[in-house]
Amino acid sequence: MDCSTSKSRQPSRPYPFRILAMVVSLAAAFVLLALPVLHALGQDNIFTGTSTGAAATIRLAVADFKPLAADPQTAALKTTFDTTLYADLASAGIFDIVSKSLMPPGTPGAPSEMQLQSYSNAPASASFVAFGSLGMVGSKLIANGFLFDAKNLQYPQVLAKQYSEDPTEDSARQIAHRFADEIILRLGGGTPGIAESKIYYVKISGGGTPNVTKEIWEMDYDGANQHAITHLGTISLSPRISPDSSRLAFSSLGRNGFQIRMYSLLLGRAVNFPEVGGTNISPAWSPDGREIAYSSSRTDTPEIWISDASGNLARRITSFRGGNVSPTYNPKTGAQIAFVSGRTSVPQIYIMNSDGSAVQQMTDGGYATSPSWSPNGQVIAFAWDRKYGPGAPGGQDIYVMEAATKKWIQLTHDGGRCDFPSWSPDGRHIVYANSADGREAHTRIWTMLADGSQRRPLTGPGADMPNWSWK
Amino acid sequence: MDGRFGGGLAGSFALHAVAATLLLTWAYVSHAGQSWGQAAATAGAIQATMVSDIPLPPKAPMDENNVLATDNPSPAPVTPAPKTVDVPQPDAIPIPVKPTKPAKLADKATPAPPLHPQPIQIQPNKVQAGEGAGVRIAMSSIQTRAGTASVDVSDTAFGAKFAYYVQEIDQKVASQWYTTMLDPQAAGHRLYVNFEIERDGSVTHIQIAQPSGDTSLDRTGLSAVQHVDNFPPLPEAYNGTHIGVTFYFDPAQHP
Repeated sequence: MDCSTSKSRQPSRPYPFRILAMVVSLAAAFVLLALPVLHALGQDNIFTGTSTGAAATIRLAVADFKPLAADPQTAALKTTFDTTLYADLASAGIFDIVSKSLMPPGTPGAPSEMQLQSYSNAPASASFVAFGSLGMVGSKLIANGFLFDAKNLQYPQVLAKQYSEDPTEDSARQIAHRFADEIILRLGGGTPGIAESKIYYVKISGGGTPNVTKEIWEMDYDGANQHAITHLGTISLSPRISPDSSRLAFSSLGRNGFQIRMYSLLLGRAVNFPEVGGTNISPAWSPDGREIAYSSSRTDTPEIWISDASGNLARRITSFRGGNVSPTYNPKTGAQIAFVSGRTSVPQIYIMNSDGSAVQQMTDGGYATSPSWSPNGQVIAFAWDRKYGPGAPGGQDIYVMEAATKKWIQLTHDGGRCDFPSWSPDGRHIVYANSADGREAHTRIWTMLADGSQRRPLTGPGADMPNWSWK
Repeated sequence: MDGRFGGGLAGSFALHAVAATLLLTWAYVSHAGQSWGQAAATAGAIQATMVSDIPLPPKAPMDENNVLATDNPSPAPVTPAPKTVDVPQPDAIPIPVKPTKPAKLADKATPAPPLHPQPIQIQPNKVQAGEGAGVRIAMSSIQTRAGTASVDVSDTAFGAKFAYYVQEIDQKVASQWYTTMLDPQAAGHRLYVNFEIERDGSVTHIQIAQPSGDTSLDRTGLSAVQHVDNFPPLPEAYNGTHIGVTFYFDPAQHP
């Protein structure tokens, strides 16, 4: 960096120097007097810059929260809170969490008890510290959370939040999720955190037997709080939550074959969706929540149809033999749909405009299914068996492909059959179904970062077809 | 018999040579322009540019000097060979040694006497100490030749109070700056881009304040700021409706 300032020095004569000083101090006085007006305009100025094109992970220290009271209920809730907060921030993908063995001793509960030097020095060497206090006050669970900038000793405070909820396990978890989301929003470059998002999936009961039933279940993004939504006693597949999280569309086997069903999460019951002929499967919501695309074989071959959110005014947008299923909208623009078509005799991924024009093939071989478009609209995740055919070793894995250039990366390797990838709302995580031995009853839902690292299971066996909520 | 045999053999050679030449020429011409053994459309190597589509920070490179983390085994320390001392020749004349003066040591610097407690300097609105662009209409302080003037102590600079936010801005713009597309002679130039960040983190009023003199730097720097979707929301403790940012791009020197 070149910091040279060459000031030319005039020979100092008293008269011009005095004039100069007067002019400068008049200018200063003018600016000082005008400052209240300028401040009302609300404009501050920052001068900063960069010399490299790289970003770095943020080193964050997550301290255990200090208990406000000494009763056992506080202790139990505090344990839940601490583990949930630590897990949320560790799985965010943008932090380098200081490991517990490197943390300095002591649990600060308030800014006055905080000694930032012990966190910014080695071995912790943290850039930011999250700490606070939690406990029962009266009949409410109170949590005070702080996020401090360990490098800025003069003005360390970034966040100061207080939460007040009923004293249950679930609310302790929710407080931890909300605090983690706030930290990720402030430090993660403006993308909101996903700690409060949900995953909808198919729960298989009696798998492998003739009495198999598949119901739609819901769970938190970290696998907690798994509970059933539908109780239809039949086969229900491919749940898709609406962008405003108010309605759930899925496909269910009824008297007239597979039909699209709509369930309202606000009303807690099914709402009307017209039944039509043929097999109707794989619904997909447009990003504005006004349209649903799905595959319908009412005209004898499966084609992609688009209807409004109540199922009326359906129109067909593909017309190719070989089966067209699994449509998914581009969530950034809503103007493109990726789908699977078997027109070349094996299922391949295609992209088209939402009116059916400009069909473009993305994969060039193998057996490709289940496309899922990332929230920034640039990459498509899908399941692909590149070595498909008689005698070929097989192996279906999750791949991501850039929509503009068709370049792809393989994310999972040698773990068994992987299918149904779904992106998180922040575009940093992918959830998918994996069966190590290929048997449907042993399928579990796994989560990973979008670069293939940090893979871990979220459910036990018997869970399939996950769908991550939009926010 | 020899002549007939020789003639037939020569004719056979000639025919085979012609056939081989034709075959090789056809093979070369029909595959002209392609690399052997590669159908370009399916070449699927991992591409580094894809990482920027997925909003995760890049993985830190392995430290080669860390013995525990590297794959290369460090060599075992070599035991030095025993030194052999030469026996001086009986008739060798010893080389006279010059008498050396003792080396002069500079006087130890006496420590400066402790200063009286200095008044706190209010820093102007800068995070990186680079070249100033002259007197700016700053919020709380202004640097003049006569000294630093400031109004009230509570109105301190944005960069001092919210250093983490300025760091976020740096990182977000830097992650969108494709330094691989810079010309080799871009190093040494510096580009200044102005923009404003609203309360919710959206970016407005992007413009080049001062061209750098290198078109590739101008182009990549401007598109870096334009490609940022949005920054984090402005800090809650900050009261203004927006902030103005002057961002500089300083390409690193490549050896």
